[in-house]
Amino acid sequence: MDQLSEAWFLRLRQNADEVLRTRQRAKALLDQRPADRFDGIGHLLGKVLPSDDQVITRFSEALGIGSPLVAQLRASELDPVHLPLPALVLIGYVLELNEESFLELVWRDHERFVELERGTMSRGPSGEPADIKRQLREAWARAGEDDPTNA
Amino acid sequence: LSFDTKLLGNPDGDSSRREPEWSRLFHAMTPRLRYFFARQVSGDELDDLVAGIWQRAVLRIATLTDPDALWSWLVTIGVNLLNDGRRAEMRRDQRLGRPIPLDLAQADEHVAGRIAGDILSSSQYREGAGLIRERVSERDWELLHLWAVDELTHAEIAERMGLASAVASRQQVSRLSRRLRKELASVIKEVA
Repeated sequence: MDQLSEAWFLRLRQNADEVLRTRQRAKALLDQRPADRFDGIGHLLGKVLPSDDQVITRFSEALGIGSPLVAQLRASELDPVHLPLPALVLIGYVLELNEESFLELVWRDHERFVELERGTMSRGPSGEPADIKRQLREAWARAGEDDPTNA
Repeated sequence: LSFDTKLLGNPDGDSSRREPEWSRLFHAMTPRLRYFFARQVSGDELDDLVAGIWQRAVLRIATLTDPDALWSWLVTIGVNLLNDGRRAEMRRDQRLGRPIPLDLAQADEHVAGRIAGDILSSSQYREGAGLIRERVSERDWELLHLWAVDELTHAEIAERMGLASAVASRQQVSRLSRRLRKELASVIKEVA
């Protein structure tokens, strides 16, 4: 499909609509239940992104990542820091989280996986927790630069 | 050019109105974005840049509360993407990544394009730059150049211009560009 063609744009938007719907559901859910009551970002995503394969595929394509990764994340079967960080922070924005809630939820999942995989991390950002947190904060700030309030 | 951004950002909005609105936006803005960024990139890179702008904009359009800020927002996304490339280049080559230098006339036109590229046709860029120049003080003109041509961050602009903070810089730029957009739109309307 030619980039910037009508068909390309239609596909782009159909995928994005899945993200916009997820955002609406997240907004409604967080009005009822604060972010800190979720076990991790995977837990929250699992509540607002349906398990339907086609939905997950559209959502994943919109964010530019593989659908198995999103399926694993929403099932809390993936350490979120193994995702490309720009895509992970976009999920945070989609879920209507603020920076601190986002970091807290990612960290809850991450620590659980570190405990499970102790010493076997081989993908994604590596290094000390402070280094990973710094990278997450930088990615969050970068995504914030695209916010309409910065226009 | 005005668009119902509330409708665009609602995935369950009336599709008989929403689809044509998206199509209208895409066809109106894509050539304008191409023209604006053609001073900095070309060929496939230009296509990739414009595609990247759309890929990000469609995801976050629901957070755009001011429809008048649409053009400015799309350009900001593009500038951020260009800066990502420059940052990568800096990391790779340890070179200072800076925008491609523009000559003076091009730079002035670039200011006009950044502020009102959605309402100016390509042949009106130069005239738009002249109108803006007449309507701002030396200091505001410098501020606009630092923002649009040198593409400094608001923190850098604040430091250079002696402003209190990045927020102060953002507010000044935003206030100025909104006023100038309105004035340019009004002049264009009168001429038409």
